[in-house]
Amino acid sequence: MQKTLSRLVAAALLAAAPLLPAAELKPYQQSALEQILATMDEETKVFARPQLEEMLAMLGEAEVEMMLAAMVEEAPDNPAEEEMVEAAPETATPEDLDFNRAQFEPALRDAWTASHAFDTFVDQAIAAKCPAPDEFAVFGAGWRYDVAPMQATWTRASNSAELDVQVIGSSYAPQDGRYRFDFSGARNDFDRNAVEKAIDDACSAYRKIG
Amino acid sequence: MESGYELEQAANAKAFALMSDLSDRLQSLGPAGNAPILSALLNGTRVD
Repeated sequence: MQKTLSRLVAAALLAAAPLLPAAELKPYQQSALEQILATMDEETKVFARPQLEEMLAMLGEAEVEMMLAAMVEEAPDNPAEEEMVEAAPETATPEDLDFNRAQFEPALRDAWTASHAFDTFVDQAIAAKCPAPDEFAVFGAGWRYDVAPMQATWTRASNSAELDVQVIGSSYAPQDGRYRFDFSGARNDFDRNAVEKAIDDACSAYRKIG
Repeated sequence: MESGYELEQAANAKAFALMSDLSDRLQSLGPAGNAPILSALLNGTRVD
């Protein structure tokens, strides 16, 4: 359970790094929040709730399911089992950890580079295609109002690839032996034309409001 | 005739719907991020 909590705290730190506006939790995110909080004592809940809410708001359904699955997998069936596991922890040699790190570090750095490139591209495209905040207003007979500025949220890259390597490497990467990982599911490219068109369409529709 | 306030509410409702749709589109069009890597780390095959 301690490993689970440490992963959650690590994930919360990662999620808190980018500055995103708070979002309302979707039903699956709210459900996950309640399941996670149910594993904590009252004092920890108060401290953890805001960070967890912020973290969960940025996770997709698949990511939330994966996190909950990891929690269930690691949760002991009974306290005796937890004590038994903690009494005899397996440790990897430095060579084992280097073996693991040689696989996940490049994967994390490549993913961060791709995510950062996507963030930059989208920010620039929105700035170029959508009206700036306070630029777009609607006028009538004796009244005027500003329409909410066009913004979008998505899972942004953290502040640095190094942060990902340090935090994920010490939380998600196994520490008990030598492993092989299949990173073939990593997708580090994106269709710039499709992204540009999505932004173009949204900004065009936005300009037509009013 | 609708008041300026009602028009503002309707306009902002449309704006927020557009933002929500765009956010969903960007989330699906962007790189996969760390999620597949975390999954791979949790499902590694022990070799020692």
